[in-house]
Amino acid sequence: MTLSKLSFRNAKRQTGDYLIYFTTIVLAAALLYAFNGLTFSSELLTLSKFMETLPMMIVFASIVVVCIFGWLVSYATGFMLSRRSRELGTYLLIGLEKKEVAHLFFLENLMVGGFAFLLGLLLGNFLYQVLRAILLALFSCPYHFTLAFSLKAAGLTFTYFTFIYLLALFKSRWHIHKMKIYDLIYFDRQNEHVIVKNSKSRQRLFTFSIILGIVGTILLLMENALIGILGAGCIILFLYIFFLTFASGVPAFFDRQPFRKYQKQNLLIYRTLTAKLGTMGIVMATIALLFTATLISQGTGLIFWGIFNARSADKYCFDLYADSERPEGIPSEYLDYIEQNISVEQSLLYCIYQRESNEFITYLQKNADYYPYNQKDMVIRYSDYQALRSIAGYPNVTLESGEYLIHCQRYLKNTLKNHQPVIHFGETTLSSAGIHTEPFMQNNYTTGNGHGFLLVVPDDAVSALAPHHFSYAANTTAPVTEEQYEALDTIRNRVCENIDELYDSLHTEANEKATVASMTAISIFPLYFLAFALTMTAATILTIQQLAECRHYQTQYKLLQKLGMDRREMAKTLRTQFSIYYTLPAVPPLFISIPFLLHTANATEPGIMVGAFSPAMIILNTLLLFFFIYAIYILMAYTTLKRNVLPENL
Amino acid sequence: MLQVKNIEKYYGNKNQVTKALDRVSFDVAAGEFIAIMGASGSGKTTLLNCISTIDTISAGSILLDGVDISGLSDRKLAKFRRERLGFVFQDFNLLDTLTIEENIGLTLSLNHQNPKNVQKQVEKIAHTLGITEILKKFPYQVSGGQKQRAACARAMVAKQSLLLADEPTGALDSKASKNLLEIMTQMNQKMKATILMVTHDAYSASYASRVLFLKDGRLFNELLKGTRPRPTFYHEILDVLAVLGGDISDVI
Amino acid sequence: MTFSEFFSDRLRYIIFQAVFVMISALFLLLTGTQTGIVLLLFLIWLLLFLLIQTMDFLRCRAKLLELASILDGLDKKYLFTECIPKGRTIYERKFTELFRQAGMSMIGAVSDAEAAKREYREYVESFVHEIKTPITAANLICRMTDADTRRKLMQELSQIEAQIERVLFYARAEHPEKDFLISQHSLSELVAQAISQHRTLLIQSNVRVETKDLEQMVFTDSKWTVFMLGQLLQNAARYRSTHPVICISARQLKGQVELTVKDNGIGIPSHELSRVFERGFTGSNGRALGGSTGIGLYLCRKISSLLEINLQINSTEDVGTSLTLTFWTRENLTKM
Repeated sequence: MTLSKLSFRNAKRQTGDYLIYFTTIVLAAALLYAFNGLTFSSELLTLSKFMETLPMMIVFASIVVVCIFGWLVSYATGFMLSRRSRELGTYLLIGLEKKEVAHLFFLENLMVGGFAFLLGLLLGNFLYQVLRAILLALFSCPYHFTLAFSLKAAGLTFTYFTFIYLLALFKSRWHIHKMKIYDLIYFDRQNEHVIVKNSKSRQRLFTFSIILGIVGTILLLMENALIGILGAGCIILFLYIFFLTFASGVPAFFDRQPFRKYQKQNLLIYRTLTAKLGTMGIVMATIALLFTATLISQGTGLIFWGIFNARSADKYCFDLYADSERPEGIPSEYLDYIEQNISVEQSLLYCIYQRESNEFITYLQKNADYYPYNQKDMVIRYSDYQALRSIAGYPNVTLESGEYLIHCQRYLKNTLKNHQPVIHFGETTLSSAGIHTEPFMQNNYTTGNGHGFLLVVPDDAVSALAPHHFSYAANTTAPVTEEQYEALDTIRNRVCENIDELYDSLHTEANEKATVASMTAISIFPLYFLAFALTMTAATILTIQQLAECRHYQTQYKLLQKLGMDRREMAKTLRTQFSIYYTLPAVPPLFISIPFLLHTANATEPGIMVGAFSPAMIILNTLLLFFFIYAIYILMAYTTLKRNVLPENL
Repeated sequence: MLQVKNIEKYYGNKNQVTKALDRVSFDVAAGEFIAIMGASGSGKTTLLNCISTIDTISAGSILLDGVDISGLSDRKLAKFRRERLGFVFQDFNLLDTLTIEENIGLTLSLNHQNPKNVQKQVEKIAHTLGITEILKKFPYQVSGGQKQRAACARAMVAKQSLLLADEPTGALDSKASKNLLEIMTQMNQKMKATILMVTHDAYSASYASRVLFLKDGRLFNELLKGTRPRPTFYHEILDVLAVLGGDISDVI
Repeated sequence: MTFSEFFSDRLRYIIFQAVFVMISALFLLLTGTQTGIVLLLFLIWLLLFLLIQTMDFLRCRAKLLELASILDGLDKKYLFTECIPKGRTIYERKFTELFRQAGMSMIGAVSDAEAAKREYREYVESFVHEIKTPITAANLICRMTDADTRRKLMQELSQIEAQIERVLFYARAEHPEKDFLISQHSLSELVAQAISQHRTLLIQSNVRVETKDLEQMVFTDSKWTVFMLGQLLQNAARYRSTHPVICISARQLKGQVELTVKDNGIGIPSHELSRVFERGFTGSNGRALGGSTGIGLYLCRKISSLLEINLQINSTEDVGTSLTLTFWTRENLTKM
């Protein structure tokens, strides 16, 4: 009976002392519950047939997340256990058996974990609603507030949670088993003197590691996948060697320039930092690695979203579109089906022609990021163009005789502005009357309304031109349903069975949107789930380490107070110490992930990564989100430490 | 240069109130070497804390170099401490993450002195106190006596006017104690340092030129060495302590 | 209180607010609210938030400044809790109420102490007044005895009178301003008065008194100065050697007159010299001789500093002691 009371009191104290850690565990439970709730929600899974793969992705992510949180919990409990060595030693001293101490510890963690779990479930419910709202918004569905509780999700979370704590409990049980009373009671004394290994070889390793990092980043940016992996390996090596030899490399620098030590508060900051890093080099490196993984996964998520969005935006103009490169034109099977099953408001069967010259293509190839899928410039009749504009819902444009229009993708506009020559069609000479850039199905490789650009000429100018392919565009009274799309697709498969290369294209706006939403959900949700878990874990570990130094800082600042240090200077020293300590593991990841993300973003086809999804914006968003979470931890740790560490009397 | 006038200090902790100092008054002239003796609990560490501006007094006034420190703001007090006061404690209180040289130079750094001159000044005072060999070592690598000498060096390197020592020989063996006290005497005579030492050890106190006795927060006696030799003075101190009822001598 | 201090006090609260707002904004954006609307909401919140915080800050700072100025203006600072405003919020009121009670007990203690002291002084004054009668009576009775007894008794009676005079001066020494009367006096006159008051003691001790150059005029209170001189004479007589001589001389300095009382007595050891002015300090000589109260020189020091007379002592063991009093000859007395 008393043992459980003692456990309870210890549990309360642990929660108080390590509040930030406790909060992270609560958030972990909330995250797990919320994300896994998605997998059990029939409402959400039936939004589109692609959504069926979501549960699997979430489960994958959950497993990784469980491993990560498991590492966090095991690290933290081990850390806390070693900090309480004297207390444990006292238990053994007064006669408690090791078995009982282990049981005590187990109960205590059970209480803390259980409490965290329950709180997490409560929070998780709200978080689940948030996710649900976002998901419904992606599919443009309305959101109605409910507070449904999913027992299945709770059960799954419970299982995950148990796994998270399992590793930790085994480790601590083993640790307790190996304890010796003497070691425990005099634990503090052992740790007093940090022996900073300061050999020349370590200093050289330090400089070497920096070189390794730069080389690794350059390699990572190469096109070759194999070299990229080599680069990644270099970077991992760099991270570990850097942090392990930091404690030797920096003092060497200051030894050569001693007067820098005594400037402002450099002395204290540098010595405290090296002392800390001397003991946690590996952890720092692992954290840096985690951060890199976070940034890359977050950034990649955003890149995917950008790609999905941009690619499909191009195809939203027509409710229904099909084209075929076959000389016969659009197969009648499509048209029959459409006539019978889909209520069409306005439709157009038309043809895209190609002219003799590839003047525009050559120009674009030379002056813009343009891949020429076709050999000749594509042309359309003005009347068809007008009709298409009306189907797509765009305002009318006029074309006088003797003029031509260019319709191109937005990113090509600036290039084409400088190239609006007079073109000849037989005897007719046409001069440019302007450029339009609304989304117009111009990213469909060889077909569509021209790849990237389309020339709009008066109807009679095309008489001498050969058709390139035939298209059908329509807008419907209601969005084309999934079943209708399925049916059309089946027909297409049947029709195109025998013809290998000339595969018809078929697009509906509704289908595109659903695909985008699903793909976004499937890729982004797990990635961000992972990213949150990684950031939280890394930040928590850093913070636990920092807060554990409370006692040491207290004595240090008490002495400084006696020596006459200003409170403001003390706060400044603490702040600087903090910033450097938290910046160190965050800087290498920045240097690694930014080039990587830039590179990946630029690898997609041109014209996709623009506007809100331009590489710059993606990187900005990734960094903002990452630093937002990081900053919260830092500020919380700072306010806690500041309150406890700076002497009261001031 | 130090005038303590009728200071009182109360310590309160929820419902417990203790009167640590009861109307203590005395003066210290520049260049004096003063010892304050008393048993533990007599208030001597409190007295030192109040003089060194770390703690505030409940009543009375303390004037350091003519400045009433009870009215100063925290910032001014900190400035005062780092410019005018030097500290030597019983348990060394050197920062264990800094080398000896850096520990001494810390004071100069706090005073925002030119970083380029710091090392030179540290080396100079280390030479005077005979600790040049250990400058590059860490505190845990040197002996107790050397640590105390380093602390003395730190207390004087910025040309501070008053050195406050709290049981400086408390954790040293007799030889190291003698060494340290001789160094402090040297600092007092050659470097004209004013030293205020708190101790419960009569031997240490005999090195001072003036000894104040504290009991239960009050100054109950004062002895002046005058021109007498140290051993005689030592015996007189012991006599006073015997009068106190033997509780201090027990601590020795 | 500066703004950054105020800010760092509220840091946690501000962080929480900011974080929540950012997350909400993000959530709104992700669920389809237009950017413009979110921006608008954010700006409105920001504006209101800053406004409220600034008002809070100004109010806190004004309150602290007000309290500081009240404390500054008070002479008896322990009356602080009576003078501060009660506070507007319930929290402030409860707070000030606790302090008021604490202050109340302090004021009571101070006033009790002052009252006790006053009563005591009044008692002493009345005692002195009363005791004069029996002493006078004793003096008269003395006349009727034989010469030898008379001499011995008068010696003792004069001792009693000297002690009583000292008691009175001690009691009054806390607030002597009430008793001051500064005017011009001749040093020789003052010295003569002092000698005459202690004539019996001097004769008994076989002390020869020499005076030199005492025709100087000084500005001082005659009663208190005579009292001081009397104390010095008593000390010289008490701590005498075999052929005691007291030499009282004066010399003129710029705007001042320096009076020296020198004896050839047993002197004061060097390690006690700086302590003789401490209240109750009797030293080794006082112990050896007995009967010393340690109050005489303390009173002299007190009175001389109030009268702005510089009192210095010098002594060599077995050679003698000399005390100098430096008086003002002009109206240079500022503190009066």
